[in-house]
Amino acid sequence: MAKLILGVTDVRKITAALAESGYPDFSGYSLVSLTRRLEVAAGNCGITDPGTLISKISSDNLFRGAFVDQLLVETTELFRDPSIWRLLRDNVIPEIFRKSNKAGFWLPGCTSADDLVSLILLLQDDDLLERSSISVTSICEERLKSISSGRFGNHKLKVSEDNYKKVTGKTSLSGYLDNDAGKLYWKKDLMSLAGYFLENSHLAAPPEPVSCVIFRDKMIYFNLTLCNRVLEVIYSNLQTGGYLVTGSGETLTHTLYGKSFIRADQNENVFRKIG
Amino acid sequence: MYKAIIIGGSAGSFQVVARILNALNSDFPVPVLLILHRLKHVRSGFVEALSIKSSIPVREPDDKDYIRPGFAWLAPSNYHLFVELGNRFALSTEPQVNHSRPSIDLSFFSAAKAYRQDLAGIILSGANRDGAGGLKMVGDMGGTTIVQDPNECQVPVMPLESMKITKVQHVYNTEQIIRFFKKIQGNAQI
Repeated sequence: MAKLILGVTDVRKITAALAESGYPDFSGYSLVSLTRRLEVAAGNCGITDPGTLISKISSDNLFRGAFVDQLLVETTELFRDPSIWRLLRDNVIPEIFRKSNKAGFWLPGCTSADDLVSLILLLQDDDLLERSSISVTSICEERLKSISSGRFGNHKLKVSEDNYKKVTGKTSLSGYLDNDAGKLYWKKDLMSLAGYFLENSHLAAPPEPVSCVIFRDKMIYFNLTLCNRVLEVIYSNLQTGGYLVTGSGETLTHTLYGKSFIRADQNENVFRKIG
Repeated sequence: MYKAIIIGGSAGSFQVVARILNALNSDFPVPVLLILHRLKHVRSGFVEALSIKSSIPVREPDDKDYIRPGFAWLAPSNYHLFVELGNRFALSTEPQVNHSRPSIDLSFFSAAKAYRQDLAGIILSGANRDGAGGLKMVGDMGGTTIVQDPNECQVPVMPLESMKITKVQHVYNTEQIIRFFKKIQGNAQI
């Protein structure tokens, strides 16, 4: 089957069709990544020309939801970059709770439960769950349902357990997982510890200002304009002195918010909001 | 004049890359993109090891960094590296391609689309087929295609797989690859 190759104009038309159908505007996404995601998702659906894709997006609700879900890139594993999670456990989280009895955590633009469960396990180990409120927001309703259901890709188990050991010294995640006909799900009581909210636009703010925003490997899919818009929302919903955690390849250098945060660590991308 | 040179390599490529970088002048006028298979959980050490040998600074780009000449840009571990419009890098955590992240194919695809005939793609020693499709794309877009001579490679699979699907323009040993770089340097000085 011929592979769909999209040009810039095709991508613009497709994002316009999605926006007209009520989905958030993907035109602020990194063109090279979005083009590839569109090509892969269309290929998975057996679509080989842009016209058919646009027509399906415009006319088929079921297709549209599933298609948008495929455009979002999942976090690759639990505790991705173990060193940053060790920093959170050893320095950032203790510092947050030294200042306040209760703390809010927000995971915007969420695409999988990986970072959420990583955070929950750290808080649980330190007996801090009852003092924490966790908000998860996502652009896509289907994806939000999948996250809150606790669905966990079986292929991630080994690398996630390797990371888990590097962070906590413990070896098995099986006590936190249920196996339903070969599919793995995080236990319901674990997933019920967070609140889940749909983002109508970039981004939906959490119910109240938070102490820590975990926003890892999301801005890599945005262009600078969208990064700045998103960072504006994050900045205004993060307490002064609160922490922003980004992916190891994401800095704030090129954004308008580079001077609104200071590095909390020399090696890891953990930033602290300054007043 | 090329706008970029992109090199893909895996097992057996480190010494070749080190020799190339060592032979460059410090003012080499074209960005060199290095897409080398590496351990995903080892984020440090590789840049330092290459920097010891290299005549130009070796950097791991952050997302949205400008692709500037005078540097060797090493794809960071556990990310795919793309060339974005506006001459910037873009990173991605998409699933592995050819069991690899960074995937040589994905980087070559995006660089070929961005630079077209102003790109040279080089595939070095390696043990899988990653890079073969990417080098084909470089050729299809009018760029220059080069593979390391399989007879010289520690592991010749990657060049051989490339040669199966692309009429590669140049099959060079390491010395000839270095001369290719020197010629670019010389042309820039004319």
